[in-house]
Amino acid sequence: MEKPTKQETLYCHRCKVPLEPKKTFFKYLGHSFHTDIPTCPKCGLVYISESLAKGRMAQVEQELEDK
Amino acid sequence: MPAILRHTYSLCPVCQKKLGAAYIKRDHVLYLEKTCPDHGLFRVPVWNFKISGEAWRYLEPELATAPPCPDACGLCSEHRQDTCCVVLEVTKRCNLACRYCFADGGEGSDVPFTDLEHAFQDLYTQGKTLVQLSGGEPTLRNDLPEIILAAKRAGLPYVQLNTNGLCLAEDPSYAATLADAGLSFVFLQFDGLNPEIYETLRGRALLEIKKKAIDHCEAVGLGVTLVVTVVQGVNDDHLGDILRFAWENSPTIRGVNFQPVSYFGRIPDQKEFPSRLTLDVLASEIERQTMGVILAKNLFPAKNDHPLCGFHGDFVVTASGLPQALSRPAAACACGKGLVSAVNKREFLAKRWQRKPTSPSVLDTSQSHDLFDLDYFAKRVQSHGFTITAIAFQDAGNLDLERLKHCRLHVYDHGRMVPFCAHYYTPWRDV
Repeated sequence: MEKPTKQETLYCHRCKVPLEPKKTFFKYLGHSFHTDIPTCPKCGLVYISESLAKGRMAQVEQELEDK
Repeated sequence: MPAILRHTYSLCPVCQKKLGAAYIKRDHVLYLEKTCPDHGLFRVPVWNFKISGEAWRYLEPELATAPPCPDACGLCSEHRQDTCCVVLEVTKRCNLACRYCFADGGEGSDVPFTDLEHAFQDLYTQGKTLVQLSGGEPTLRNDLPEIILAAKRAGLPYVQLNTNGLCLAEDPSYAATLADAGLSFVFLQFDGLNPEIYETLRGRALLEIKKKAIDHCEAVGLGVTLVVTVVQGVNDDHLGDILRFAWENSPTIRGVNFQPVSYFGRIPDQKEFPSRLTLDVLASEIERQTMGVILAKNLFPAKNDHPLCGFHGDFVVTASGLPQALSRPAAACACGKGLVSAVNKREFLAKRWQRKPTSPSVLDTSQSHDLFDLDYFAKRVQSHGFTITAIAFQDAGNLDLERLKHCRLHVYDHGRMVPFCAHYYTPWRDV
């Protein structure tokens, strides 16, 4: 699934409420990062788009992996 | 009590007879030892235990029989590693007469242009895509821009220039000419920030020339990696100064490559070998001389070489102007991937050595520079990545044929890919 356009609203399947951008923390190989991720305000589930996973997150993972 | 840690094979430095050899620990020093029936015992220090040697141990089974190295080098079927970087000598001529020169450059002829074109095509066909133009001094060739163009035309994405920087310093437009031709990055011989170092090693004061060469590369966006020949008693107390200068000039300077002196080519007095600068001493000195800004524990044995062949550390120069480690000890083994391929290594090094246009967000001092921010971190590492590497070249004294089998730095020699330390191997005249 590609990153939703601005017009699209993502909903939490379980809570049926719209996701809201929220600063979310990631850890990888001893480093910690944050970025805004669509998050369910009720249950806290986050939505990581394919473009984020294969884009910036993959890039940062590669930078940190041992060569 | 001496302890034999590993058996391997080597050569007699004088007559080149293939010999059994062993790594033997004696009084807190690890030596490579071998005995020639005609020329006696050779004992060369390889580790001084200034840092733990555990991560640097080679864990593969010992060789059961003597390998065909170096007679069959070129590469033979027993070679264990692909090519990362190819060294291609384009001339033997040089405009310096350095006391220390691995390649023994100075007098000689240029390689015909058509031979170079053929070599580039051959390298491209073999998928060896990072070529270092070396010598002698490559910039003495008037057709160097055409040579770089020919390499790019053949399809090689990464063309590196190994240079003393004299011609780059002399003519401000020369760096632009080379960059326009497609030069990817520069390996600049740089031995320190004290003019006397250059007078000792290179025969003349060159510091201001080196700085000018760097300025001219900066003006055209060419990334520069400083290459330091480290000689005990000459510049081994200047490692910290060199590193500080390097990171203060990030992102133009992409990193530092330390090369402790080895005894091949035109290296004076091999009898000094008992005082060799080993990798553990180098790493611990880097930590001491940078006052802990660079920690030895953030310098790792390369995964795709033999561990005694060098180390690497990956950093980002932060907005504060100081380097921050990217690879961390706890993370180094976490991926479980084992050996890193030469192709991956090549792509990684090329990415680090090549200067990218810097986006405003990583330079703008009015913005917060939060390295925890995923977007900012990704951009900053691309623009201000910084590597500290070391290569411990082998010579007739410490040649370990097991190490040679893992070499990924190859010299293109009439169609053959010869491991660097086999190509430049220089027999000792006497001991």
